[in-house]
Amino acid sequence: MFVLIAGGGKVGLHLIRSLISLGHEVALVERDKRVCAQVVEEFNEAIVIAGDATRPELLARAGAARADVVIAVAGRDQDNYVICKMARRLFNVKRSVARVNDPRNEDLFRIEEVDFIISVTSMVSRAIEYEIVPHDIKTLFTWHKRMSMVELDVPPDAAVVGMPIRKLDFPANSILAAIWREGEPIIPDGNTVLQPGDELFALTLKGNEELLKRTLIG
Amino acid sequence: MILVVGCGRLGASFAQRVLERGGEVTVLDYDRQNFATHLPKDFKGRTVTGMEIDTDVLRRAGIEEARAVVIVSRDESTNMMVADVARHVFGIDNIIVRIDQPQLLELYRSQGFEVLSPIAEATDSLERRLSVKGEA
Repeated sequence: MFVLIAGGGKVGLHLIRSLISLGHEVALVERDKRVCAQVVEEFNEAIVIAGDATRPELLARAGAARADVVIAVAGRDQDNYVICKMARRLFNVKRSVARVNDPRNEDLFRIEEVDFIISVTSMVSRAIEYEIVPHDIKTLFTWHKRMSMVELDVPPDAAVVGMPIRKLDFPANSILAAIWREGEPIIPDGNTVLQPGDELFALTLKGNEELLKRTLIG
Repeated sequence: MILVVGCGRLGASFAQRVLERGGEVTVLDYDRQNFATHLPKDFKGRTVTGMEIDTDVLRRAGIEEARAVVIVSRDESTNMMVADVARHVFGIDNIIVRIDQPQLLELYRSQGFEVLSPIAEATDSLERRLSVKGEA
């Protein structure tokens, strides 16, 4: 695979290292000449272009037209946005990945059909919220705002304790994917009986979470 | 009201022109120093300081009431992203965006944006003036 990386910060450099060690071809476009010199020295197989990755001619020189993926991990959201937009619209690159600092910008990146959006701010705040706020039901991941993986803990007095899963009145568009019980993972089937303290992992379409919660833990 | 994004020389000059024609104008820039540097001391329009791509900042600058949005900062990535935010988040039709890099200018033009390139327009103007004199 040929991967074009825009932005040679910590994330960009780490990516270069791991992609090259996995045998991929890598190009970097980075404004800071010292960073470029360092990459050239460390990885003589990488294509390194010193300059502003929001300039189409520099992306072209880095080989954007034959890139399988463009990864925009520059510092500013607007630069990553323009880089992904150019990759798709000017160079016909099929896949793009962008770092987004302000979660409020994620929707716009989605409109530009950026395939994978990494929002460090969202991830960190979600992780903190998960740890400090008590929840009956925790959303672990959400895909494209449409589908979620949620976690629920079965309380000792829940109506479902002792019931096999096939007897549950499970909401539509939801599936119980896994149970974590006494430190062991279980992939359940219809005969699996729920126990107090089970941690349940369910896949569901957005909007079903409340119903799912009422069904499983009351 | 016309919202001018970017208070460089061009943004400041245009904002002042709007006022002279009796219009209302709001100027948005991330650096308040740019207002002091480029706007006249007795500027009668509204100024708003904040990151231009921030939807809350744009809302505070009154983008939802703007008759037109003129995006002319010196930072092209900012201009392009603000143009897309204005269109996709706020549904603004009347947008003029400054882009000088030819391929990006063409891209935004092909997406139906009104694009302003001071460099391209000045280049055309120079060529025209010289050709009048029979030199080009």
